[in-house]
Amino acid sequence: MTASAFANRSPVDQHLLQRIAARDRVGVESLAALPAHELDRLLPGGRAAYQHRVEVAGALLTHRGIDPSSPDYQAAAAQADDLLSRVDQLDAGHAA
Amino acid sequence: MTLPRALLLDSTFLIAYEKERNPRLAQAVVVQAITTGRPLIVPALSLLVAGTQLDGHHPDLSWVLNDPAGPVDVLALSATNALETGEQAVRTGSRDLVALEVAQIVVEAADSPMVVMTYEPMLYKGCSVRVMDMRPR
Repeated sequence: MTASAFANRSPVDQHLLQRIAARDRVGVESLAALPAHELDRLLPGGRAAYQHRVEVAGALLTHRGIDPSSPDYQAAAAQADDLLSRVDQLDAGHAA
Repeated sequence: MTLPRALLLDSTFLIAYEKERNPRLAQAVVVQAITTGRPLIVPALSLLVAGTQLDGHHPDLSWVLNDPAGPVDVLALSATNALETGEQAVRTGSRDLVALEVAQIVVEAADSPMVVMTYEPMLYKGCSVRVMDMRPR
């Protein structure tokens, strides 16, 4: 299976493939040909969690009593964005 | 293929998630990851170590983790990775809980694109895993 097979999947299928691959310690490429219904069987609820991810994140903030528009949280969110942009540029065996 | 890398949350991250108040960086990382569809992974032994440190007070962690259909995946110990984790821990010369946690993380994350999110990056010195230091700069 080539990487392009994975790239041709929908964003939600790519997300499910990543989660299943991490859980099962296999490469995403080895799963890339699985049909969508098989992904749903392997990760029940994963599709809905992805499709409602903005609502899930909002519920998390509400549960914690966080006002996402507060200056403190906005500063933390900006720091988080910076960290996550660096996450995607890390090499193996290196700390940032 | 440019996918957002999955985040592996260790016990130091989980404890900060529960306890941090200002800045709420660990919480913001989780929120941003969920919003952007970035996978979030928690090893079982990281949960165990966090549980020992939080001493029964973990309402926010429980809220985000207890939904089996939720956005966070817990990596259980299985017949395969439990044995590998034990073997990996012995190599480090330590068998305490944190050493076992680090061993599971190394077994799960080595040779994978996952990034370990931690407030104790020195725990992973010499390990072939990608590490993101969460400490304030």
